[in-house]
Amino acid sequence: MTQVVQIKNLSKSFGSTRLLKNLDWEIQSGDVIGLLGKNGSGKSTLLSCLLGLHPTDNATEESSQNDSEISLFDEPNRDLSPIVREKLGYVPQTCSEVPWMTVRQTLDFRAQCYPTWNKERESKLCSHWQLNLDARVGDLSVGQAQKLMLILALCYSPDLLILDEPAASLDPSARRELMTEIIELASDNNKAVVFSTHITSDLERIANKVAILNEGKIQCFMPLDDLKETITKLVVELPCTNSEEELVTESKKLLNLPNCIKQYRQGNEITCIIEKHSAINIDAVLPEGANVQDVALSLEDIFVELTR
Amino acid sequence: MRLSEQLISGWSLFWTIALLFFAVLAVMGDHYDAALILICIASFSYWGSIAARMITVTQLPHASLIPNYARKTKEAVRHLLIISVLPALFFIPHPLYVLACLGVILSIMLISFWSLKSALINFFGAILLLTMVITDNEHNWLVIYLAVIGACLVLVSPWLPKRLSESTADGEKLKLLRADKNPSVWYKDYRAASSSEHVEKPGREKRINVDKDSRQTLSAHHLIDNLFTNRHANWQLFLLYPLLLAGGTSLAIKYQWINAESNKFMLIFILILVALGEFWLPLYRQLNQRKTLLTQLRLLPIFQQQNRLRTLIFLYIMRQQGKITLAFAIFFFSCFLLTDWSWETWTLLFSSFLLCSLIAQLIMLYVLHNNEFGETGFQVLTYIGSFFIIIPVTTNALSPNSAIIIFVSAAFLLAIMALASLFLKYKKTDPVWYPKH
Repeated sequence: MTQVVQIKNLSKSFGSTRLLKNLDWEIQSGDVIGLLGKNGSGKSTLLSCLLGLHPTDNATEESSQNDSEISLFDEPNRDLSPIVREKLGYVPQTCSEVPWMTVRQTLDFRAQCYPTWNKERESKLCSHWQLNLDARVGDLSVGQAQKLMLILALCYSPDLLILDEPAASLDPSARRELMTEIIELASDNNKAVVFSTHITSDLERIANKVAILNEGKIQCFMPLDDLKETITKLVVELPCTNSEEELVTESKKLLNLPNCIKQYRQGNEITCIIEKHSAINIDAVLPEGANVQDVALSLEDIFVELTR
Repeated sequence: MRLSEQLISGWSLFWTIALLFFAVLAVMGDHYDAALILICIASFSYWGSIAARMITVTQLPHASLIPNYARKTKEAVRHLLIISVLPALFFIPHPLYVLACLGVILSIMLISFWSLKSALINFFGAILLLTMVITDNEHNWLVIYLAVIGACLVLVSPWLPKRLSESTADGEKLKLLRADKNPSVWYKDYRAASSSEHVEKPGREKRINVDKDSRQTLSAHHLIDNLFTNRHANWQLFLLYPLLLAGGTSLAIKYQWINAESNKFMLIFILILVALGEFWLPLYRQLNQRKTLLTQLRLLPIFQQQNRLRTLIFLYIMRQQGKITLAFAIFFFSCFLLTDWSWETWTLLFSSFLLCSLIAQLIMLYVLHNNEFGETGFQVLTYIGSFFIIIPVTTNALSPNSAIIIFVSAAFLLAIMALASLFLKYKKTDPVWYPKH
């Protein structure tokens, strides 16, 4: 496994809003990473900055005047050699291809740029996704344009494929087809795939790692199975006899547990999101008569709870 | 197909050939000056269209990630320079006036089928110029007739079926812009997000999440940008009118039409037509969209924040521009009818009016396109170039023949400036144009 992407101290601001805050991240070959995050959390910005399409903040107060460092295949992202560029595939959220070209012209032009362009794959995908080759790119529907962008990125089997919400506008069958293509691509251990998405079912289907972007940082980045095992929800039902003051005190005790990430209370029911990295000694802090329920969380639940 | 061939649109080629064909006819009729003007317009049509397409190619946001992209685009430009010599072959003198008429009829039919407004205007301009050349003073009624048809077409074109009045790409973009997000729904989401509260672990700051995509789509700046960047198909319009103005004035002096009342009327009519045409179509479009724009802006919290001033300036200019245009057109026409001012005086006034318009355009360029040098850049360049042509001619500082030479030279200069602006665009926005590897 080789390191494909290394991000150190990445910060990005838009005006006074700091979207990414001293973010560190590493991606290895063989990783198929699903990037989750709320709307506006900076997923697209992170992916663009990673590829050098957006300039990053040069220095921040917190980073002691250190510049951010982003490298792709050991080359700085702002100064990539053609060889590295041939290894990169990127599908942006919106179609940015030349609107006056036809689909066929776009594919032909792009094929000239990549020596490893696979014509067979191109024909296969165009026919499976029923893309009209003679249609102008500007006239394509949003879904069709997204299919074109995906074909453009998949036909040369890039070593690092970055997809920004690739399935957002695809119909279910095209989405399934896309997932199959990604799985096929990822079956080669030298490839890495990063895709941002809101569809957790897609992510669970193909990703082997999950990254959750929250409040400008990668809040958690771990294998999918580990994440599901690690994050759990404890629903603590306190005896009804407890007064409001006692409930607040108990609530604070639970919140102060080292592995409690979040907590919210509804009546006498306290819900805690717990990281099971260490043994939980919850009984020690609970009053007598409290009922504790350990609820397994789906990926979607985990995301919702972590980013609440 | 190579990129260079793709860069030449079918329409651009069609108009170039049509204009050159007319230029050939002009040469055969010993109207060399008119032929040169036609060649200039053909050159604008051809290179302008290529430049517009080239800009879209180089504006590909992730072009820097595509290997060899810069090399391919450079190759395309080089190839274009070579194949563009071919139109010179069209200059084979032969008296084919009948074919020219057939060409006109066929072209009008083609326009009604493919319906590109800018092509229509271009073609009208070419016919007008050609007619001015091939007819003598006794047949000026034909020129007036064509001018009336042209005026009607220009004035009614906003109401023509969408296919004729709006290019498909523009229409699609507008549709997308309107249908993409429903501002009221987005606003509700925003309100909901603003009012929601969660118990957070101490130390975590509460955060209101606004849908970034919605914000991008609906920000006032984005909306305004959309209105202005949707003019790809119409930029030729802005190039052609000042050229027509300059060309018409030069020809009028050359053939001494200005001495005859009817010709004077015709010239004024053309100039007013130019003024109306210059502003009417874009103005109509903007006004038409303003309703949607204003409705959406009122719902946007951003409208009440940082972009408010910019939006207000934009709306003010947009509104005032139409009034100013109409007022000036009426004023000039009244001046002509009611006063015995010399044509030089009112032409200079008219030039001043265009200068005001230039300033307005510059303001708009500054306000709305802070860092952009796109379609508006071309427009401004054209205005500047036109002034250098019109003023010496209209003030009689130059003889008509010298004026024609200056006009032709300036037209070529403009073409070079247009191309230069294209390369500026390359340099400014495309990191792959000067790759380090």
